[in-house]
Amino acid sequence: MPTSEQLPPQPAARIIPPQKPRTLRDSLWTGLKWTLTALFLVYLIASFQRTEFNLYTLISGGKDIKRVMYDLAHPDFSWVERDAGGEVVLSRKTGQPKPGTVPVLLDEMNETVMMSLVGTLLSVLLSFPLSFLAARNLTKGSVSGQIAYNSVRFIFNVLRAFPPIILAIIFVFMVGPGPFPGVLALALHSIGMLGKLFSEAIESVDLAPVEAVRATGASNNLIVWFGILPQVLPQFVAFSLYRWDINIRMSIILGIVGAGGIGFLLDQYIRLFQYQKASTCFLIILVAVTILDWGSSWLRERMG
Amino acid sequence: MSDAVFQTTGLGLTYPDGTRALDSVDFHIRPGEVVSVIGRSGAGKSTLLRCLNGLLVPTDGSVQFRGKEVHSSPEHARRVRRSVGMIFQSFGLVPRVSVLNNVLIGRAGQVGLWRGLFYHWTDEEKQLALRCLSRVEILEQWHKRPRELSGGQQQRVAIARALCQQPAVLLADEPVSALDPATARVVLDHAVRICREDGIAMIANLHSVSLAKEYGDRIVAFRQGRVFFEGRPAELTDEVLREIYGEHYADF
Repeated sequence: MPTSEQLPPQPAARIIPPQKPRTLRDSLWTGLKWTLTALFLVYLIASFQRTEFNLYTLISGGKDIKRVMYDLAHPDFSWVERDAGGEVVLSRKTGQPKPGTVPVLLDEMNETVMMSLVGTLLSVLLSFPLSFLAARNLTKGSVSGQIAYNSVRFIFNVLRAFPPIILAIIFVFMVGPGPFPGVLALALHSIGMLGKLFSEAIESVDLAPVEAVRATGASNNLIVWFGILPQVLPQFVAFSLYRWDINIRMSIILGIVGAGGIGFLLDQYIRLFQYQKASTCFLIILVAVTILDWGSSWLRERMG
Repeated sequence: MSDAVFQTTGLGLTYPDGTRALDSVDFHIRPGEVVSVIGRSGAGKSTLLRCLNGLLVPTDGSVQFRGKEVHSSPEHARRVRRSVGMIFQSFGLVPRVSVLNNVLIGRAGQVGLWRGLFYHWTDEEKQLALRCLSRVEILEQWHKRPRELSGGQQQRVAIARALCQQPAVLLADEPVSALDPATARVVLDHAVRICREDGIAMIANLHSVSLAKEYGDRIVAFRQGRVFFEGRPAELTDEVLREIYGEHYADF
C-alpha cells in the first residue's frame, strides 16, 4: 500500500472546472422540462380520481364480497352434473350422465391450448418467409428490395399495433363465435411480432459466411439458405416457442370476447354469478399455464 | 497475354464515399501461376480480388476471365464465381453446419435450388468433398462443427470448400493474418501445394513480406490503389519495400 508520503505532491489549490457555457436554448429547455413535469403530476393526480382508486373500498369490500370469497374458496370439482336434489343428470340423447364442471373445463382448456398451437404455427409459417424481406441487410441496394422492405415492415407494424383481443372481436363479428376467430387473431398479431424478431435476427448475422457462400457462385436463394439460415435457426426456434408460450395465455383471454376456449366459459360463469365454477376455472388455468410454462422453458433451454 | 486466366485493363473502383480504392490497375495471372499481392492496409488488395470474381463491380476498366468480360452481366459474374474459389481472413465457415456440409456448400453454385434446399448431395459430390478434406489432412474432423476446430483447421476447411468448386483460380484474401506464424505456414503449404498439383492459379494477399516472397512466383505490390511494383521475389529490394510500407519499414 502506498503511503501518503509516496504519493506525488498534490497541487494546493482546488480545481474549479471551467464553467459550462449556458445558452438560451439550455434555459428554454430547463423551463420546458419543469412545465412538463408539473403537467404530468397534475395528470397523475387526475388519474387517481378518474380511476376511483380507494383503499377503503378494497378492504371493506363491495356488496357481495363475502359470498364471492366463500365461493372462490370452494371450487366445484364435480365430474358429473347433478340437479338441485343431488341426482345425476342424464343426457337426453345418450342416456349417459352429463359431464360436470371439471371434464367440461378440461375439454375447453384443451381447446385453448390447441388454438394457441394452430395460431402460433400459422404465424411462424407466414412470418418466416416474410421476415427475409423485412431485413435491411438483404434488401438494400435495389429498388425492388427497398419496396419489399418498406411494405413488409409496414404490414408487421400494423399487425403488431392491433392487440389480439381487438382482432378477436373483429373476427368474431366476421366469422361468428368459436375458436376459429381466436386462431385468426393470434396468428395475425403473432405474424407482426415474430416477423419483427425474425428480421432483426437476420439483420444481426455474421456476414463473413454469407460472402463466402456468395463467392462460390450460388444464387441469392441459396446464399440465404446456406449462409444465413444456419446462423438464425436456433433463434427462430426460441422465438417461436416463446411466442407459443405467450399465445397460450393470450388465447385464455380471447375466449372472453367469444373466441373459443376456456375463457368463454369463465366469462359466462362470472356473468351468471357461478363463482364456484369460476374458481375451478381459475385453478385449471393456473395449473395448465404453470405446466406449459415449465415445458416450454425446458424446451427452450434444450434448443439454446 | 491471351493465355491469362484473369486480365484487368485500366481497372478502377471508387467507393460511394469517394474513396479511390483501385486506380488504372493492369493485372494478369496465367494458369497455374502463384502471385503474391502485398501492400499496406487499404492499398486495394482486397478490392482487387473482389473485382476479379465479381463480388464488387468496378467503376472503370475491365476484368476478363479467360478472355470474357466478367462484369458483362450479373449472371455471367455468377458463372465466373463458380470457377473461382476464395478463402478469407475470417474463414467464413457457416456456423452450426458440419465440416463436411461446409465443404459441400462449395458446390452451391453448381447445384439447383431444390437440391440445395434439402442439402441433397450426390455420391460423387460427397466423394469429392471428402477427397478435398483429406488433401488438407483434416478428414477425421468431417463431422465436427467449425466452432470446435482451431483457426488453422478452420482455414483448411475453407480451402477444402474452395477446392470442392474445382476452381481454375484460388483467391486468398489475407488467408493467414489471423493465424500464428507456424500455423500460417501449414495452411499456405497446403494451399500452394494443391494449387501446383492441380494447376490452379492462386492470388494471395499477404501481409507478411517473407511469406509473399517464399510462396509467390511473382509479386505485385499495391500503393494507394495503384500497382507500384511487379516482379520476381528477388527483385523486391529493401528500397522498394520502404517505398511501399513507408519509412518505418524494417525487415519483419
